[in-house]
Amino acid sequence: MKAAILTQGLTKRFPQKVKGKKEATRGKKNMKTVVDRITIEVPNGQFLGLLGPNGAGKTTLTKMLVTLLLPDEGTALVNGYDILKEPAKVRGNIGHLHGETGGRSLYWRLSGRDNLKLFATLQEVPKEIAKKRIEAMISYFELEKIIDREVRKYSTGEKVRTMLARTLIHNPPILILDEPTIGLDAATAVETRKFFTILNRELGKTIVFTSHVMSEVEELCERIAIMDKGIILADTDPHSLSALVKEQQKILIHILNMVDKKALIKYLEDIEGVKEVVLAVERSPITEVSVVVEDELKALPILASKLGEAGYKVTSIEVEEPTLEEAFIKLTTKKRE
Amino acid sequence: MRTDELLALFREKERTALHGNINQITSVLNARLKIFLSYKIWMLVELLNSVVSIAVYYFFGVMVESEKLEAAGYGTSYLSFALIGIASQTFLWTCVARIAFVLRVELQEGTFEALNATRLKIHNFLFGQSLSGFILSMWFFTSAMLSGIFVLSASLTLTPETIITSIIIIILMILAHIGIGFIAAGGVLILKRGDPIVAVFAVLTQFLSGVLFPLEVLPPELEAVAKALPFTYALRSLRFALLTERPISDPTIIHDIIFCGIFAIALIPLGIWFFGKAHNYAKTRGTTGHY
Repeated sequence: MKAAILTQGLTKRFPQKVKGKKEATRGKKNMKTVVDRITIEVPNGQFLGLLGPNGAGKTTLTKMLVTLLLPDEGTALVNGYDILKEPAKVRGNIGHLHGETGGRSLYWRLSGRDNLKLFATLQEVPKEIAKKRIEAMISYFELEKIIDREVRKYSTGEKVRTMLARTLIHNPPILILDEPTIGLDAATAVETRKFFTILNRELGKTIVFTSHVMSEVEELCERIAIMDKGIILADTDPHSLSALVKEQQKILIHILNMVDKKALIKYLEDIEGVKEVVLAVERSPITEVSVVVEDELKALPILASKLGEAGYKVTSIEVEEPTLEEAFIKLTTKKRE
Repeated sequence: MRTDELLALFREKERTALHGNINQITSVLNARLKIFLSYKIWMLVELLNSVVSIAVYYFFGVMVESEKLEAAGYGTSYLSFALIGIASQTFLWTCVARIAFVLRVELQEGTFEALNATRLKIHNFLFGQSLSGFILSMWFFTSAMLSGIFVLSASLTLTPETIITSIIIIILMILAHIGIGFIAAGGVLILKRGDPIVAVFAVLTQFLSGVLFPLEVLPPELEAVAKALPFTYALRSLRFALLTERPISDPTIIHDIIFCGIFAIALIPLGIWFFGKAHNYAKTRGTTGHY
């Protein structure tokens, strides 16, 4: 399968401020590597989540792919086009949405419709097609009532929806969505996420999605790359990512109407293969117990059967996986240490 | 609209893409004109400003000796002399300062980065912005001239020949200065605050080129500097055409046209080259969205 995005040792350095100097200078010693020799391949049609703390280099990496930023070393192919040699073709194959701008990147003194028309022309979309698409997206994103008003009068959600329509106006095969749901209310964010899934599954669009919201990335992305300090720390599917940082094998049990907790702990500790018992949370009438075991697959049926025999009302019992958030924190903290 | 209808639209095979620099230039031009027209009060104030300036110089006129004007070949009416200077300076501002100003606004609003993420060629951005400026300048120029003629009774020779000569001179005036505007815009991309330098340059040019007085009243050292500025020659020819009905074949006008043409040939490519370099500089530093 042809790669939608292929980077080779992509590197970007920025000058950093030196004490006592007003401006950052580009002397060799003052350069900070923000993206460090990143080599990554994103196959066509993949939904990749790019996670990382602030300053990890996510936006710098995506801006290089959109040709908004020139790399210091390395290069990248976007849909087969070199970002350095054929930047205009690269831009024609990418739809870029930078949600953090809060609609700043639209012309606020123009109407939403005029913005869409302008960007359709700049992206060389034939007039009749542009007209059809604009009308369709106005209708799909429910912008009918506001589309002929100046953008400055829009709410944040309306601006983001207009930006999203602009991103899609030239029907690009690759979408780079940098924090696209930032500032949206919960309901709009859910709808927007659904739309991204549709674009990926139904139209086969390759999506590179950056976000701070773990649940969002976990829900949408089939592959996750965690970035910190300019390098990719982990690059795998969400499930394997959790396994990567799993240090203990744990089983999580929910028990109904439990009275004597001490007796329960003692009972569990005496079962073969159990290393430690933690009474995690109590949300009456359910008690949540986390049990550290030697081998979770062996221990799971034993624990279920023993608890049943002793008369405990077990409502659920499952292998406990670290959340994506835990994986993210562990990976980025480890690197810092 | 239902999702499947929208998706069907995106699945449609596209014809060949809409190519052409003209489309890009006109779309940038249209957008900028619409933005300008959305500031209705500002537009009115700008227009009033031009007209009031001319009215002020109507009263100045009584203090200027008409012999000096006549000796320089500009006729005897100071009002008519100043009217052409003041009305023409709008082109100077447009050429030299406007793109830098608009670019700074685009950087502040984040739209320049959005434009950079499209197939827009950067020289089309420059030409589109410039054209919108010239259309607006032409509007201010015409309004100022008409106010001067009909309200203040300025005496200009308006015949088909002088009008054609004036249009040719104005086009060359624009072409001679636009390269400087591109360089100034490049300066804004690098420094983020290049516009005050541009303003100083424009004001000095206005002063030295004789917008309000004939060059002959300047000290010899400043007169020498004035003779190196293309605006000096464009303004001189425009006055000769409109005040004393000199034809386009007049040796002085031909000289001035050639002088402005040389500036245009030298400065436009230099300006585009410099702006391209500045654009690359901003893309290297990651500052196309900074201000």
